[in-house]
Amino acid sequence: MRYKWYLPYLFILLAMVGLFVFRLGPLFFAGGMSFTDWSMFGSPGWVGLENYIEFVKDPTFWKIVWHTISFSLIFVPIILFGSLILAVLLNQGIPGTTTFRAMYFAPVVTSTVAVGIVWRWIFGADVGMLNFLLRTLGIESPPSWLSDRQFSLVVVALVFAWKRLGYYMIIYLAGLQDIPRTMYEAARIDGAGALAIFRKITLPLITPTMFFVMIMALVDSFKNFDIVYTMTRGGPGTASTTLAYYIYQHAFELFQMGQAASLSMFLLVIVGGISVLNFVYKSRWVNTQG
Amino acid sequence: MKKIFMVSILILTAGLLFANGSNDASNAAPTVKADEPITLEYWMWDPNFAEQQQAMSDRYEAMHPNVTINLTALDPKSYWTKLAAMAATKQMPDVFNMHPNSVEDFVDQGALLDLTDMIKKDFNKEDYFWSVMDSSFGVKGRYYGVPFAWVGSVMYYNKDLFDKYGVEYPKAGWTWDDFLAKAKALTKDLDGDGKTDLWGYGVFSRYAVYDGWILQNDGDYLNREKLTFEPNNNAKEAIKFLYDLANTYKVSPHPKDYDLDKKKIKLIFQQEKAAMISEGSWNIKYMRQDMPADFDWDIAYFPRGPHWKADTMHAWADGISIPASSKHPEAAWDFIKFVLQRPADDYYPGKVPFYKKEALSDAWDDFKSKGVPPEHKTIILKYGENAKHFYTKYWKFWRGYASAEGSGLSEFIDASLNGEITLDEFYKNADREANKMLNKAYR
Amino acid sequence: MSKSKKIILYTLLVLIAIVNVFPFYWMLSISLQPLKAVYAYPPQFYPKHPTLDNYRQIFVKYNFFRFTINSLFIATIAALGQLFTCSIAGFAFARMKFRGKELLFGLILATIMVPLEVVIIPEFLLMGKLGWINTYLPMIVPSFLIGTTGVFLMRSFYENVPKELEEAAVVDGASPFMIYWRIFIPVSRASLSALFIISFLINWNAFLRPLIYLNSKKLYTLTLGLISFVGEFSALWNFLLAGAVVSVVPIFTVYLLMQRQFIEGITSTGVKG
Repeated sequence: MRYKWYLPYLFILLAMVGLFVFRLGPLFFAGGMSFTDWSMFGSPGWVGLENYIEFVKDPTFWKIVWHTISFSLIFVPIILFGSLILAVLLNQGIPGTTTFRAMYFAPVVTSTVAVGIVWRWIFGADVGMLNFLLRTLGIESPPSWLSDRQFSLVVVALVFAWKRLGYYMIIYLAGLQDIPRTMYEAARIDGAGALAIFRKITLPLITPTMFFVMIMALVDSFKNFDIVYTMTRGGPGTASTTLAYYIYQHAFELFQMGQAASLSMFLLVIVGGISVLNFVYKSRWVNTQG
Repeated sequence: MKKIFMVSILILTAGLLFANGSNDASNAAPTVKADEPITLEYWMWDPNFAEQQQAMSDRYEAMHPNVTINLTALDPKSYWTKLAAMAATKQMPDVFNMHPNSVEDFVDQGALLDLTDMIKKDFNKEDYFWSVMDSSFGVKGRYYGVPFAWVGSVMYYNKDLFDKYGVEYPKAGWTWDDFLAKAKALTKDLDGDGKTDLWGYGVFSRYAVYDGWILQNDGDYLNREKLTFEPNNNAKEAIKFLYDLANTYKVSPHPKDYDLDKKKIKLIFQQEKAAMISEGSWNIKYMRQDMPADFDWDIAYFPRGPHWKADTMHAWADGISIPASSKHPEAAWDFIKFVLQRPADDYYPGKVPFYKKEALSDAWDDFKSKGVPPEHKTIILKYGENAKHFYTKYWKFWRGYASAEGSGLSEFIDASLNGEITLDEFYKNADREANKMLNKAYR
Repeated sequence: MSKSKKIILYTLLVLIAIVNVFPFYWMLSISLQPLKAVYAYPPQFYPKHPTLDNYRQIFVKYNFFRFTINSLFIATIAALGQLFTCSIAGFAFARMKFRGKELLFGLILATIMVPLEVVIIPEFLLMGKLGWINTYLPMIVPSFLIGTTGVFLMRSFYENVPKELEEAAVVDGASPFMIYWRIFIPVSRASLSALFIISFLINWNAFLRPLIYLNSKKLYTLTLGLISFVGEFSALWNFLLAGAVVSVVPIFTVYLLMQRQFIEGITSTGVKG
């Protein structure tokens, strides 16, 4: 292929505009903003590290960091193992698999907003379906899930996991299908039980996929703005407020753009750390995901 | 082919980035001739009332053929966010509803047009409830908005339930003791399962539900000089009384047991799970039209506390403002004057027209003229005489409102009503969080 | 597989299916009931007197049809744009030589995981400067141009296209663009449709951008229409869930028709966004 030196740059021009104008540019801009006291209306003034110092000293901020981490701690293991179980069940090659797969996948295509609305109704304290079931089972006063500071974050994380399980199930299924059938057959001939097969064959061979899923689920777990917004708006109080929601609140409700930018830097550091982890270990999953 | 492709890709990119460079030029032509076509963007926060507003805009358009009114009705939760976002990008609507809970925030940012001179020129003080203008839209002696109506918090009660259980209706001048006796008599376990199904009263942290109590005990939770959260003893007495309603006398449910929010408080009343609730007077519309109650109901003042001195009402105005950056201030002002003069029938039920002639008309007292409840709607008219509110800069955030409904002070009020924290903890937390915001606002 | 094992397996599958499907059933069931029945306790498991009244009401009060068209328009344009941007850039990264190639590609990879929340504030200010607030452009342009995963995916695909295909065209005197357009695009049809469907889904369900950029109701997307519906009628759960059903039906239809592409899309892109 022969071409002028500048032609490749034209080919990547659109992607580069996207990269520099809508990704890297804003990223650096946000970094700069985080050292200012920019409110939405006014003009920015340099305040140095003040925003950061204020947050670090504020117990509410640390509570919110903890909520963000808790959200991931609930979400990631459920995804990691839950979707693996779904995939293994569906990988048995029994009739009806396609139908079940379609049903398990349905929450993935549904918007988070619709998911949040229907689960809010199910988790309603007084006339919600779940509490009706619990009362029927003899639990006198079931919790007020979303209005209870002990439960709201857990419930939101669970619902988000419910929505995302099907997605990771598909990734696992792809990984499982790469395992040669012959290995299972050989093991079965040797008289290995289902559990033994899972432990000795499936698990080791699926580990790279699991690692990949873990990284992806971790990153996914920080994209919790939509579900928090629709289910609790961070409440009661700040009980289910996460960093993503806190950024939104500071920027678009408090109009403290500078502070919001410094919050987004905290989030960036967390996600950046995970990206580095991913990069270091990438060789381990890239083969199975080709 | 290659050249076409290259050129088109360049054009596309350039177009994406610079297409709107021309925008500024068109913005820079503020002078408008008398009958040049003008479009006024008008924003309001209540989609449930958009039809009536639209009808009014249509009438105005018919009278002024060169003016087009573009009405945008946003729900109250996103209204302020959107408005501020438009302010940030210098694209505010030409006319928009304004509330005393935000007026200082916007004035502070220089976003509102100073209307003082226009108001002085065009308004005759005697024709309007002027004190409402002063308390709601006066900032440092200047006016930044015009009330079109004013509203206050009231007690709603279910007359059928009062009759059924032989409880006398609230009378003018009723006290906390009267209230408690009634609430106790109306708290019932109807199916005998040991749990309350009918509550005497429903309360949670919302400003329009909660704050009226404090004023009727001559209390205040703000230090108005220093602008800090600092409840005085009378306010503390009211806070304790409300705490006891939920936790000691158990005549009010824990808010969390019904997921109480601004919609569900009305719902427990409408579904006869609570015999009394307090809410803003504008909910008369809700009770009449949106989810009509199938029982007879009425409204009353908040009861008087032991330190009551004079009926002090939790009331304020809803108004209209023009942005400082307005391209058509005269046209906008003319439209505002038209809005203010509309007939009482056209008003949001439960809101009192700022224009006295309409407020005092029989048309506004529609119980008298049409027989629709509440019978005592006219008690709101007296609110104009001794009204007080708690709005400050950053009010939404330290008090907890709109998208931040459950945060700020609200978080701790609800936690105390839920019995999750003691009153001491409430004061400690509320002092820390509310004052953090207030300090930020006024530093 | 033994019979007992099969029974256990099916029981598990059905139980999980119930958890997955029940919320959708519940959505539908409530949307067919009048408000009184919705708030009845104990809850009714199926509508005793089903009515379409809620749907009639929300279509009268709320232009869900318009919202659907808006969402469809935005998601389609954004996804098509991403296909073009990603495939042509992927082609250049895979088959062309130029200075800074590794660096630029590395930068693309580095930003793959940055959540939208981190860049949304400067982006918002930029959109304001451009005068794009309350237009579709903020929903379309960034998605049009950013396709970090897409570029990655297309590059890996094009790297594996046999050299002979390309060489035959070069002999015929075809320009690089013709080679990309006439040869590489057709051979990557499967990857492209998978990428399209994933990108469509993401844009269809997008929430944060419509929330902060759109003001006029006539521009609302389905997700934003639904959430503002919550703000206005949040006690009217029969309306709300009817709205939710309306928002779910179009994407479900697409999904059922194009299941294979959805699954390919996920397995090949792996990453969301």
